Amino acid sequence: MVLRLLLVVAVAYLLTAYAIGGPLQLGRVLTAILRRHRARYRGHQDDVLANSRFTIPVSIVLPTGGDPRSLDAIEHLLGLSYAEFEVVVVNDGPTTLLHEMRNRFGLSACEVFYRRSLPTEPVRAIYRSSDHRLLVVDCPAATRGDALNCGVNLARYRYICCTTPRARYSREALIEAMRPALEDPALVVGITTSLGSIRDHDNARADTFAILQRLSSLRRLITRTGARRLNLSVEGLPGFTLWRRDVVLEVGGFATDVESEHVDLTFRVHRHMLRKGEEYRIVHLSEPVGDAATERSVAEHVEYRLARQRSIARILWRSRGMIGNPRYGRVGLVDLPLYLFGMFVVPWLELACLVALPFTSIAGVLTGRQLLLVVLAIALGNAVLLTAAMLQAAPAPPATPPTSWPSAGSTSGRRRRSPTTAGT
Amino acid sequence: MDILSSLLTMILVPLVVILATLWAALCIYIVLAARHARESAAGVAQALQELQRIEASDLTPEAQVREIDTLVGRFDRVMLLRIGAALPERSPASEIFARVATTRNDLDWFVQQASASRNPRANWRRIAALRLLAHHGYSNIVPLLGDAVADHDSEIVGAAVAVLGRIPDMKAAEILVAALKNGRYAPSRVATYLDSFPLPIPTLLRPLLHHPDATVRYWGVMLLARHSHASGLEEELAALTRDQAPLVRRAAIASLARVNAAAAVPPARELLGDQVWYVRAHAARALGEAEDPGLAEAVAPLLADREWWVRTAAKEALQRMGSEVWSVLVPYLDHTDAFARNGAAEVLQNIGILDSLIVLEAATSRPSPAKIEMLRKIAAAGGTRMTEALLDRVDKDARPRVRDLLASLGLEPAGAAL
Repeated sequence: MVLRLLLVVAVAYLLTAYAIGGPLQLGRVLTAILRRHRARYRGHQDDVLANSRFTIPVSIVLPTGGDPRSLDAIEHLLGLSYAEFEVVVVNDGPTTLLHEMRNRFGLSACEVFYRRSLPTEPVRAIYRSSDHRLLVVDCPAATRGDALNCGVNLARYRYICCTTPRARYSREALIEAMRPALEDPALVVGITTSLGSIRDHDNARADTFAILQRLSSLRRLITRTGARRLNLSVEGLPGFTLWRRDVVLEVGGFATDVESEHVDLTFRVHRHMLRKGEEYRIVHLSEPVGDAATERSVAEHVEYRLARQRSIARILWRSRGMIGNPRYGRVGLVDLPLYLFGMFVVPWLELACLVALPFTSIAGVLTGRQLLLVVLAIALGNAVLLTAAMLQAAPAPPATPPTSWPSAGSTSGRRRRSPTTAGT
Repeated sequence: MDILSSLLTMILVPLVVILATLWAALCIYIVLAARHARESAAGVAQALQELQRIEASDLTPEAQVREIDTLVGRFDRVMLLRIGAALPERSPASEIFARVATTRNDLDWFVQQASASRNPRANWRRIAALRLLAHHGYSNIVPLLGDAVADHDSEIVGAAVAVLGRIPDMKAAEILVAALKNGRYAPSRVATYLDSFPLPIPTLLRPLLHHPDATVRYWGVMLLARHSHASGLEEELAALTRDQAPLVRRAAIASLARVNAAAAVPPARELLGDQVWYVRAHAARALGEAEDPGLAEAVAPLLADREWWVRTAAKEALQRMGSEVWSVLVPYLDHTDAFARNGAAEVLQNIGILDSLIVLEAATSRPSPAKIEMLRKIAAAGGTRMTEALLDRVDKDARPRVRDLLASLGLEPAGAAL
């Protein structure tokens, strides 16, 4: 009897999650699209804003991680359209990459005395380029968080923009991402963004795994309720993340023992600011700021997902004092429990329900025809969910940059940002 | 269970049918919407390319207008709004396009679109219409933009502020100044457009210096730095360096240094002892702007300031004063504060004293004891990384001699203060 009841619950759960959840998500996506339509012409590429002396300067930190794509990434970052910024490259990889950087960017060694506000591995050497915006630090950082801390120590400006060599950002990405901070620098302490779908830079045909990865990313885009409320960047597709330097220092910098250092920092900033009782905002910009440069292989993807799952588990364990704690308001009572449920309960629950599904027929809970209909309903609900995600992720029609003429034959424009800037 | 079974039979078939229909409809919509979006985007891009071609052509102005008129005739009003939203600034072809588009297609309709948003979806239309009418040079555009600045929707306000900042009309500047005073929109954004306003507006900005709100005074001071020729401005800014609000004192000294670096020297000297760290930092920078090595004596003590950013500002200021500051810095190589020693060594490195000294002394067979002593002090204050960086920088041929010289200094590296 109990087994039969469990099987009924499994069927009910799957039907609710997909057959009913799919159309519900579609409704939410349609609402979001209406809001995006509303914002389609917001934020023109504005040469005044991009060149103003009143635009808040930003320190961009790029940990190379030994990735050879870092060289192109540096050039790309130096080409961003923004009034005042510096690029602090933390070479935490092999010296061969550093040699290549030295040749390409004309780096010369120098000593810079900086405040070691955050503990990091010792810096081996510092290099300046003829382009005064570029500073390269050779530091054998053990993790990405460590490398970011090293960059934060050397950063001169109020906002820190954490980037990755894996991404290619649009030229106006920084000014677009900084908009919330420019409008309210006193309140905005963090801005998370995401990357668009992986672009075929070499026009190579995407393989099946790549398509599945894209679909998976798309699906995550609309099924991340907890993450959205916490203003976390989309899992697997992080764009760049901006933090106010003073807040990063107050919370002790990036964690050096977890993979998802931004998730960890987001939780700690929430906790810190809520404890202090200060008003603050962490803003997530849902529309992509650029594209991922390359895809991961199956093995890399699996490894990444497992490492991330472990990392999130560790972060949530550290933040356990916040979960269900009324002291942290909505974040503690609703957002974190929802995130926890979505990250650790839902995947296993769904797997168990799916495994149980064939047994409903054997146990006599469903007839063969009913089982077929249930499977069909779940598949169609999932299809609706995925199609809704495609609808949401489809780039808005371009409002081509107004300050310069398009190059001949160009019909592509930049994506517009939807106003999902809910803050705390 | 039987009830459940019959209930399932009852709902499953309609559920599957509904889901299948919904999915099919969604797929069709996605395909159609993508096609529509592509067509719109292509239309906008094509129009912009056409305008670019016309502007770059050798056609007479009359012929250009005729061609643009033909181009405008190919689009409906909504499409013209889309193109209007994407028109480049400061382009004669854009202005002609906007004029032809609005006059040929019922100007009142565009004015109506720019007047108020009927619903959030029409938000973009209002912004696009405002831009189009601004390109057109529509006579009543400033009042329309004034209404938009008072709107509750921050996107409309932001777009209106950006358009107002480009209109060479004092009334536009007045609206922006009023927006700065009432603080309903981000003051930094309003100030950005006032700072690049196409007309000189010091008369509008001067009253801001006496506003009761310190934030408004701050922006007034910052904005006036651009209008260096306004009479009596230096005196007013100098007076504001003694303002109660530290934010205003900081802005006043920075602006005064920008207006007249020499005039900023006396108040900047006073502010070097200000209680608020960022005022001291800006005072140091103001002295750096004067690029007078004679001021190094006043700035150098800040190398040992209790606040890190002040020390950084002092280093930057000393570097701006040029290589002649070296004699002032030498005593700081023996300072009791490790940060001050580090800072002095870093400045000596950055102004090129260290490099030239070591290369010269390495080249001679009888190095000067005084210079060797100074090198020893810099090496001790700068630590191993500074000497390593120095070795890395010097010419490959000179490197062995420099290495020998550094070895002959006979000092264990002091290490940097962390």
